[in-house]
Amino acid sequence: MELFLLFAVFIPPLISFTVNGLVLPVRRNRVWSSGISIGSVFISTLASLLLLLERAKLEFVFEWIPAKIFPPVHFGFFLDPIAVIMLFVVSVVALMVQIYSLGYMSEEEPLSFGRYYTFHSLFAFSMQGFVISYSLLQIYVFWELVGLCSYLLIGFWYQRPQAARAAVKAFWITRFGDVGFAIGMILIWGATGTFLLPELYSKASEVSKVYLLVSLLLVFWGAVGKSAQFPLHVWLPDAMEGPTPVSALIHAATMVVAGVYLVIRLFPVFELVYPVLPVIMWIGCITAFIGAAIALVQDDIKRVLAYSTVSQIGYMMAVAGAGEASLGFFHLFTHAFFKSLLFLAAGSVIHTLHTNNIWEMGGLSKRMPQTSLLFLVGALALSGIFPFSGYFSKDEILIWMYHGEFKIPFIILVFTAFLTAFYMFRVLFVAFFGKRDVGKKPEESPLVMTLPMWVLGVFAIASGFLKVWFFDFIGDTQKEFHHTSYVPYISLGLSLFGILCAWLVYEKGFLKNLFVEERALSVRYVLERGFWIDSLYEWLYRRVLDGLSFICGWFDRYIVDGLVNLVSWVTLGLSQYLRGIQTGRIQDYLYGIVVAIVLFIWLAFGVL
Amino acid sequence: MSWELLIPIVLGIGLVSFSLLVVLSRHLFRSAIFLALALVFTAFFYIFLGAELLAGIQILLYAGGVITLIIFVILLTERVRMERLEETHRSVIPALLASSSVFFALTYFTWSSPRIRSLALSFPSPKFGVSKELAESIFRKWLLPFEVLSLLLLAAIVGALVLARRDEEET
Amino acid sequence: MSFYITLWVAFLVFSIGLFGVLSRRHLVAVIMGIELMFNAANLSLVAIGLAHGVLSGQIVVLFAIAVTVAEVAVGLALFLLLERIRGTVEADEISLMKG
Repeated sequence: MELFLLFAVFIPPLISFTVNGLVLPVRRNRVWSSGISIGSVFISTLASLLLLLERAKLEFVFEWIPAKIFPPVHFGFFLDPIAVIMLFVVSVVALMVQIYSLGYMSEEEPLSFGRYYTFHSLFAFSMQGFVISYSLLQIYVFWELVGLCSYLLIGFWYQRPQAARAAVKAFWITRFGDVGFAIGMILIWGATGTFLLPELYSKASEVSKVYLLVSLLLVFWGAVGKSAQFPLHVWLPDAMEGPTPVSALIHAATMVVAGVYLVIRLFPVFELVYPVLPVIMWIGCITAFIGAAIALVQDDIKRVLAYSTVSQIGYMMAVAGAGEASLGFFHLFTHAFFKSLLFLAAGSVIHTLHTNNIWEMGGLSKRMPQTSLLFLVGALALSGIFPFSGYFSKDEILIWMYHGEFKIPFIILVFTAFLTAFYMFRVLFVAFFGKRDVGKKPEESPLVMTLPMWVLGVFAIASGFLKVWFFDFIGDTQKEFHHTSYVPYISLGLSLFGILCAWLVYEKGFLKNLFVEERALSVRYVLERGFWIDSLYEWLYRRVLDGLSFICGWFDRYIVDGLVNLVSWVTLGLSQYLRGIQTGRIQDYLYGIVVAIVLFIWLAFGVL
Repeated sequence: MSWELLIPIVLGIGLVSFSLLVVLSRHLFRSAIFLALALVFTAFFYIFLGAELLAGIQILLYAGGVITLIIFVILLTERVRMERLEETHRSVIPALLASSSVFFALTYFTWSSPRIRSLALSFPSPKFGVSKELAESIFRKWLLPFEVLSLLLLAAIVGALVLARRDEEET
Repeated sequence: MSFYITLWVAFLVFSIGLFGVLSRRHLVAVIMGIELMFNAANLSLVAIGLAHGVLSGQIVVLFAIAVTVAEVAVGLALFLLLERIRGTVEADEISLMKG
């Protein structure tokens, strides 16, 4: 029964992808393509809900590549509470986003509309496959598949050069991380001889520490690329060139947190070697701070949200690195809902205004009450205000950091919480509550777009209250919750202070010169350049990589090609001599037969 | 010297000498005639070995049919320039080396092989009159190969006809 | 001993035929050499069949003769065709496969 439900979760999107991808008349038809896709995800959602209610546990393995000279490669499905919850999150968000897309993408041509849903089906399938993967190799396969979907959907409007460039950038940078993942995975396999996760947990401890350290850091490098962590975070803001629902689904709720999910999955292995977890924690902290800081000065509403995603994933990584992966997973759970809600709300605005710039918005709360309300809910959740879900998950993280004697990370993360509230409410005050007249007439989005937002809004509020149930469900009950800690008050106070600052600056015009108009301010300049990380990469690319390529090209042209030419020259020369044998006269060839005859005689009488 | 030894020696000398003449004769036409004689001597050999039916077939098919065919072709191809019937040899020394090495290999290995020796010891004196037995064996046990062979001959006849036929527009 | 003599005669004729095949220029002469080799093989087959005391040797020779006749017929037809197309039946002048 559980196996059947499992198949009901991830097979329908595959069928939808196949049908949409192969049958052109279906793809051309708006109703059919979207209907099949949404129907399939709806089935997945129902099935994953049933799995959640059943508290399914499942292990299903079969041999994929039977082999004798090396250990056979297995393919299998693995359901534990974490996977079940993740499946549910993926299905729900995917369903909501696909319904929302009906409205958002309604101006598309029928064929590209169908293409959009085809990619979405493929993504749903690959993400679910990734979640239930049993072996590391299988994780890698689906990992690449979701990367492919991300690439395809970022570059969905491939006619626009920025979109095509952003897609390629996202593809290359995540692939740069994936190279590390692949190498690390193979290193681990080389030492333990298995890809299966449970066997890895037990066998990894037998591997020598340094070897394991190197391979695990390489695997984590893949997670860094996929989850847009420092220093590979640069692709995520550019990925906002894709359609906004795609950003909501892939670049906020599901795919980018795949790295966190991988860390959670491999946590028992990561624990084994000492400096791995601190590396993860520090990278998470740095990312959280950098993302929040850069988000302060972005004018593009989606880029603010993208940097915010980078920052929030930094939180998850940090707490996982601090030794409590389940807290990171809880934050992942709540973040998936409120961040996709924020993206959908932003998309709702973009859909009607056709601009991303927050300075070209204003006074939206009057004309788009539902969207504004939902954006407010999302912003409050993200800022960690009681009783919205972000409060619970973020404060759990902060409490853990504080009581786990990680003082400096704690200070960084608390300060980041302040920044988070500030940049979110900066957007809110500028775009939604401002009284400026920007000369546009926004209209409230249709029901097909607001309904999914309402559903996600309910989740964004409710998921925080599921905290006790959640930790009970994933079997992490022995940890005491620091109910009596004063840390929540600190962070809540700082968040409220951030909101107050944003209100003062952007609503009341306090210190307006400093924050809005004075572009020469050095901090602002640094932030707008994103700490020059993109420039650094560009410099690396232009100078170092190009130089290296030049040397490689020279080597290839003169040394490698030279060797090949030498070989061919020698062959040609030898052939000139050898062609003398081929006289073309039959009788000369007969001598070969004579030699064979003598050999046969010798074989027949002399040997046998 | 008994008859048993004398007859093969005499026949062998004849066969070998005619074979040599076939190969060495500088006139193609004479080669063909010597080939016919060599084939006839082979037929005598068959009689000595007790295969009188084979001897008859040899003379009918080979000495009769094949030789006629060969002579016919010689006359057809060389009808214009009769001087080309003067035949020369090319690369005599390698050919001699190769053929003699084959001969020595064959003789040396058959002489040293114990299986051939045991065969030679059990060599019976030839008995005649096996034609009936042979015919029965062909038409009972070897019937299918026999019929297939007839098909092959038919194919050969048709093929030879098609190949040798002049095209309409050429004539 | 007569068995060995027969075999040696056959080997000798075989080698002579081989020599003819290798050294003659005219293709019809080459085919005559091949005929000699065939004969030698047939002769040894008959002798060995007799030594084994079975009739199969003779039967195989019978079939071999028939095949030879077919082969000669087709081969000679090919020569005629060759002569008509290329105007020669010299083995040395047919060297299209020269490298």
